[in-house]
Amino acid sequence: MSSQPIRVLFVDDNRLMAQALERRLGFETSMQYAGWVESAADAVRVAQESRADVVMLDVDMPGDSFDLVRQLNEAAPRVKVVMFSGYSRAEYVDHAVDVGAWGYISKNESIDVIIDAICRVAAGEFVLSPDVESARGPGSG
Amino acid sequence: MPQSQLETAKILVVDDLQEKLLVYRSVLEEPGQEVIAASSGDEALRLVLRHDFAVILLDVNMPGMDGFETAELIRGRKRCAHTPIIFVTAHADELHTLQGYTHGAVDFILAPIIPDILRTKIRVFVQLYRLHQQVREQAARQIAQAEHEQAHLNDLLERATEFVARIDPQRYITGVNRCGRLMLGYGERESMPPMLADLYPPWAEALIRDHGLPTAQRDGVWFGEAALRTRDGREVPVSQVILSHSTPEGVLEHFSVVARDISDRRIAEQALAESERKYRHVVQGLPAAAYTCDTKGRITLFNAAAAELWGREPALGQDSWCGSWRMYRMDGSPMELEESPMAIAIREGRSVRGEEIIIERPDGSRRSVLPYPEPFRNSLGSVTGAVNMLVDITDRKAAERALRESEGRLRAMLGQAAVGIGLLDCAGRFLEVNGRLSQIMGRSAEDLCKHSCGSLTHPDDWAVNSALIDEVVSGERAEFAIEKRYVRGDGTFVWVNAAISPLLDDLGNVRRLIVVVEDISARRSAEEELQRHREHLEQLVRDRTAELESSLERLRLADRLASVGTLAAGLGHDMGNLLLPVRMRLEALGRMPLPAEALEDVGAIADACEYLKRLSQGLRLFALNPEDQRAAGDHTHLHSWWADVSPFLRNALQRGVELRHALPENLPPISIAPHLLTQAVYNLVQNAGDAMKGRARGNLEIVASLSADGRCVSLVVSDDGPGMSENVLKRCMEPFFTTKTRGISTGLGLALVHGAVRKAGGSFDIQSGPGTGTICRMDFPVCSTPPGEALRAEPLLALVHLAEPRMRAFVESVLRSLEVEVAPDMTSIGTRGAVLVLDRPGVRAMEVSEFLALSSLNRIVQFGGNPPHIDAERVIVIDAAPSAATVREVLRAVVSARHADMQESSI
Repeated sequence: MSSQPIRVLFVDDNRLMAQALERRLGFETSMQYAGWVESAADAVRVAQESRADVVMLDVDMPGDSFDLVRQLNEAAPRVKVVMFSGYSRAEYVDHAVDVGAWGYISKNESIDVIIDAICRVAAGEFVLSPDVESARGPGSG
Repeated sequence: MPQSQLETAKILVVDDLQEKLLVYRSVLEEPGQEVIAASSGDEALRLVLRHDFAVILLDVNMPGMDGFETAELIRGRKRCAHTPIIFVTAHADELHTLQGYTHGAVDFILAPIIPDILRTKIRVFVQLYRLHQQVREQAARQIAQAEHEQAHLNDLLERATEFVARIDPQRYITGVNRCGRLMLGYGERESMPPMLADLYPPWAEALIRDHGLPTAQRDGVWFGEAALRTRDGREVPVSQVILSHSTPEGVLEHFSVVARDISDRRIAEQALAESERKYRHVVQGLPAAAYTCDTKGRITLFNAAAAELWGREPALGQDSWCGSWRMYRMDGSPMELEESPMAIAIREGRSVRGEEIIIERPDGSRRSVLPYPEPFRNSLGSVTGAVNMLVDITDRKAAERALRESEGRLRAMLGQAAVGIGLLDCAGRFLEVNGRLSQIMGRSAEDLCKHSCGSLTHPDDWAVNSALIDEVVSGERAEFAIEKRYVRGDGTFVWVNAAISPLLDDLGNVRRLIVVVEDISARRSAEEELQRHREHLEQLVRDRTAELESSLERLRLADRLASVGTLAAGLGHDMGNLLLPVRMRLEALGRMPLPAEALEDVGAIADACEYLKRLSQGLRLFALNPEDQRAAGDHTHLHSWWADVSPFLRNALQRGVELRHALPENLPPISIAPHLLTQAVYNLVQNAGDAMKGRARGNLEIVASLSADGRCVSLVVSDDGPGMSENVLKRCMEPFFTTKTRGISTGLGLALVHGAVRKAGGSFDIQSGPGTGTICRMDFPVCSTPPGEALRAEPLLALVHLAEPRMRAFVESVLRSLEVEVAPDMTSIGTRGAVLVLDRPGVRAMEVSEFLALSSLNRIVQFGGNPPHIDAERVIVIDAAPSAATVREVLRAVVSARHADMQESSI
């Protein structure tokens, strides 16, 4: 399985973001662009059909993206969902963990950090992007 | 009769012949006989008028008037009609002529005279004269005496003070004395009615006619009372006596009626009767028991009240001293009648007072009585009896006793009253006080009674108090109550509520004042306390109101900030969202074989993107809620923070102002959240920018430095602007204080900065002066670095045995963020163990024991299940599927405690 590239599905309402990611992942041999879903309604079905390993879910999508994490976990337990957000709000992070996300990545991170995070999640690690980690802070609950 | 004997008998001799006269004289002159000679008849007549002669010797033959003629004339004279005349004649024949004159001719003598015969004859006549003279004198004396006596009697009758009248047998009035006339109203010369009957009114006339006069005629006298009628018809009551006067032969001569006016007596009698009647009436009418006794103690009179008091009616004239059944002394011993006060009063002739006795009635009931016996005396001062008044004091005594008891009870009540009570006279002097009042006043009752209300009242309160008392005394006011201060015995003042009301007598006059005093010092102090509380409360309300206003203003500002924040956040978010695809495209471009010029362009675009990314981050920090202390973490690394916020901060300054900074990279993090620091510094930068507005150039410096002890980092924002005046400087940190026009600023800028810095545990200070610029200095405590910093080369180790891969990954992530490495197995733990996180304690019981045995500092965090039996205090059991927040919290606490323990053990 390790030779198999990581299939990454993007759930984001931002077409520019999705296309740029597709373009960027094209350079990575360890990853494979598994597709792009514009709406939450299609996400569960596409995640099952696309045999995705990791779903990068935009927190700021219309609808309840946290609930979508639960649905995805139920429908496709094999899929690891990572929340992807322009916000690095601490309370979002804990909430994401509780609903079953494997990580929380800020869109402000550099592209390498983002690629690395996807790899680590696929390898079974829990990932918080450094931006979020610092906001979370060592002393904060 | 010696006088007559001494009297000389005069003898008249008449003869015309002198010698014969001489002879007669010589013969007849002898002691006791005087001879007076007359030489003619005329002379003789003259002499007989002048003298009384015992005998006249008359010569018949005389020239002129002869003897006979002379004798006749002498006889014609009354005085000497009976004087014996002796004729002398020489002619006997003449004797017959003498017969005609027998009247006076007693004898004849023939001439010649023989002396002895003459002498003898004359002596006889002289003797006869003398005898006759004697008889006549005696008779005259007797008549004179009778007449004198009669006159005296008449005078007496006339002057008698009784009515005296003489009535003839035919009942005609023959005389009435002066008093009688006056009594009936007749004057001296006025004629009175002729008949006795006319002097009486008809009823009296009948009595006199039918009874008085017949009785007087029969018995000689009648006494009786009647009435006389006066001239003007009034009746005069009289007591009268009628006497009858009869001749020795029994023939009625006249009646005498003597009457005495008894009007005064009648009046006196009537007055007496009236007085007695009144006296009886008074006694009878007395409400108190009264009775009289005579000197023998017999009851002569008693009134109804007495009979009621005695419970019986005594028999008049038989019962003695007292009409009561029995009498007792106060000590209850029986009292004999003779010992009674009445008996003593009569026996000793004095009034007896104050001796209370008890009398018993026939029905056995007893009454307490106060007798007032008073002896009577007649005009001579002898005791004739006594009157006794018996005052029944039974009811009064009972009432007095009841009153005493009532008063005693009242006094006892007053004495125990919880309020002070005092009795004042109308001048406000204390007469009586109860115990509570002297307690309140801190003075003894004796001391209080030496004072007046006025002298013990606080001078400031007395004017009103005094006026009110006057109104009560004058009746204008029924009562009043006043809160005032009394001067206590120790000189302190006590606040009281004093209620004063008047004590009236039966006539409604104010006799006394009653004051009821309540110590209200406690209430007063409570009121004052309450007042202080109220003032405090009002101050609190004012403060809160001000705070509320401040909060309201802050809310408005927050609202604006929130709007700005929302905008900034949205902007930052969108910028981030857009920058990521841009950056990805750039990176894609960078991987292509592009010409050098193109690569340079790509590089420039990448720089611009980086700048925009930082600006976006700055916007984000600026937009975070300042109330959320940890929205972006609780500490700030100044160097990296500056990288994020400097693009954003620059935008607060106009062109021409140079922003310089000196934030060394090696400074420790400070204990303030990045967004708060951003907002605080943004405020300072904006203020400086505003202050330098309109200037061509200006400088702003942001410099950070570590204090000498390394505990504090100073962040100084200074400008070279115009500075602040002293007044502005003094007030610049007050909320809402602003030097800017409304609209540009809310005035909360510096106040917010101050608040944010203080909350972070730091301090904020501004130094400024006109023309010297402004230096704002913020001192932040250095963020407590993990104490295990020194051991960081050998980080703590943890073992994680969780079945669920995502939770295990999360726990490991948290541990890493806490700078704890996750060890692969127990063998690598050694002394660096911190925590074992596991979810199946039963399966790993051996491992738990081993881990705990490695170090007493090691802890277990167990997901679900029961704690072990041993070392339970070192095992923390949490939910089998805990929330992220719980996991984070528990691990942080365990690791932090482990750090503390290590620091302790290292020391």
